[in-house]
Amino acid sequence: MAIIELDHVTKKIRRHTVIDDVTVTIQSGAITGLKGINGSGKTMLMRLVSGLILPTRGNIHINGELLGKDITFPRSIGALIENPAFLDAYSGFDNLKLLASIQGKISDEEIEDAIRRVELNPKDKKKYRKYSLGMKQRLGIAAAIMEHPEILILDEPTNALDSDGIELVRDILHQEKERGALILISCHDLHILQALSDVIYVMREGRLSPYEKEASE
Amino acid sequence: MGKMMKVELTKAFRGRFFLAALGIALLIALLQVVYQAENYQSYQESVQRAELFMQEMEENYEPGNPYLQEYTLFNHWLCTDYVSLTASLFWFLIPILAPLAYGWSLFLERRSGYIKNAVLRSSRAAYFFSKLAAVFLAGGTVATVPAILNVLLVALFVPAVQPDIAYSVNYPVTYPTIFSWFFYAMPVLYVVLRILLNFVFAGALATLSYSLSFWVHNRFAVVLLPFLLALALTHLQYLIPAKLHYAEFSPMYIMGANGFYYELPGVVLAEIGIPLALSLILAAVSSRKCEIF
Repeated sequence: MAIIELDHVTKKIRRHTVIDDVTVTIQSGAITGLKGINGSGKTMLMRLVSGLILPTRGNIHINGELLGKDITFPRSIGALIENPAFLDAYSGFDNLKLLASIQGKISDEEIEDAIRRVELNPKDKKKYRKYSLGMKQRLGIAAAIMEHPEILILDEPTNALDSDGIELVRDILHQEKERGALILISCHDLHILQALSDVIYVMREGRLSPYEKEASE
Repeated sequence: MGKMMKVELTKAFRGRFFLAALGIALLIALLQVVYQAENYQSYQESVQRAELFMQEMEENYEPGNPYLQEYTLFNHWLCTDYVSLTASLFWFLIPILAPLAYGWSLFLERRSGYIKNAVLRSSRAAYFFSKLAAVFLAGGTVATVPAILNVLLVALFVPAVQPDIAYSVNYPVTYPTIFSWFFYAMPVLYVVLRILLNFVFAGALATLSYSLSFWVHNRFAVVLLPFLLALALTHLQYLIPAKLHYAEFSPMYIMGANGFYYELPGVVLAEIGIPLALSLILAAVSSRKCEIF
């Protein structure tokens, strides 16, 4: 069971506070959603949790280990942060195979299985540069889940997806939750986030607070 | 680190930009072979005409070329050819082709976000050092493989006669230049050392693009700035009166051994060492605290 603990985490970039004194604990067993408008700090918080950037103040513990000191990145993480990014001249399968070979933990069959789970064809030789936006997004999700990570971070996973795609993301998230993964997702659309998440937090100007249903909603 | 290195080398050596850069370099190197084959044929014909003339003029003339050492493989392959347009063009373009091979990749992967895919599966150190090594090796390969092929092919047409100091006016390698002793004493070893030196030099030029990726925000600038710097060094040295310096500064002329000035070992080492040291320092610093957005 994975656990992420943020303890008074603040991040400043060029004197501008992008994450402001965030304290929260996220555990596996529930899908945690982050809601917020563009620029509210959702993506920055995900970068912090991933270890891609380090907090200016405060600590982040992943399963009890201090990020940036005991570990540089979570030991088992799958992430899609901002846009999916792959090599233009490679097919979807070749892209994932190249990435998977960095750790060498999974077989070709498992890569194919991840591609099938996002309803793409693993045998498709089409180059990534010819993919539609929706296909790129699906491949990004496949890359995040293919190595069966303990922690799954998906930033706006429904971007560029149609209603079937959103349904697919929902199914995948529930499968990953059943598997025991800790899942953190973000979305600016509250309705989609409510459909996908068990717990929702709201980001406003770098501050995090639990979502409370407003009277008007 | 090993697995990341393998991934980076795969990306570098199977990339279309590497293949394009290598293809252009190979084409020019092969054109230089054609030029040398034709040139040597003309030279042989002129030697034969001269012999016929001498036989008619002198009764006791002994046939044979008395200037055998002036025209040898060792001053006519790609790296010591200071005459042909193709050799000049080859070394002129290497500061573009070497960074073009893979030098741009760090810039592009930072901009696209691909870097996140890679570092989260390994470490910052593995990524930045593997990337640097791949950039260096790809850049070096673009300059070296055509040169190796060239010397082998030119050797099919031009005999590998040992250079003689008496003919030094015909050679681009004079006393103070780097590896000059090997050129006259062990010319084959000189060829090997020259190829190795140019591998490192071109690799170092490619790593300039890697270093620039941390500051420059334009893909074309990342690839072209090493070339423009090399061009600036080539032209700036002419602003210094020749009386005040006799060292060659131009990377193009140093790699081609075809400059006006002497390729002094200190200058050569500095021009290789500075970009390499800069890129290694940047890789080391980035491995510790580079924030990836």
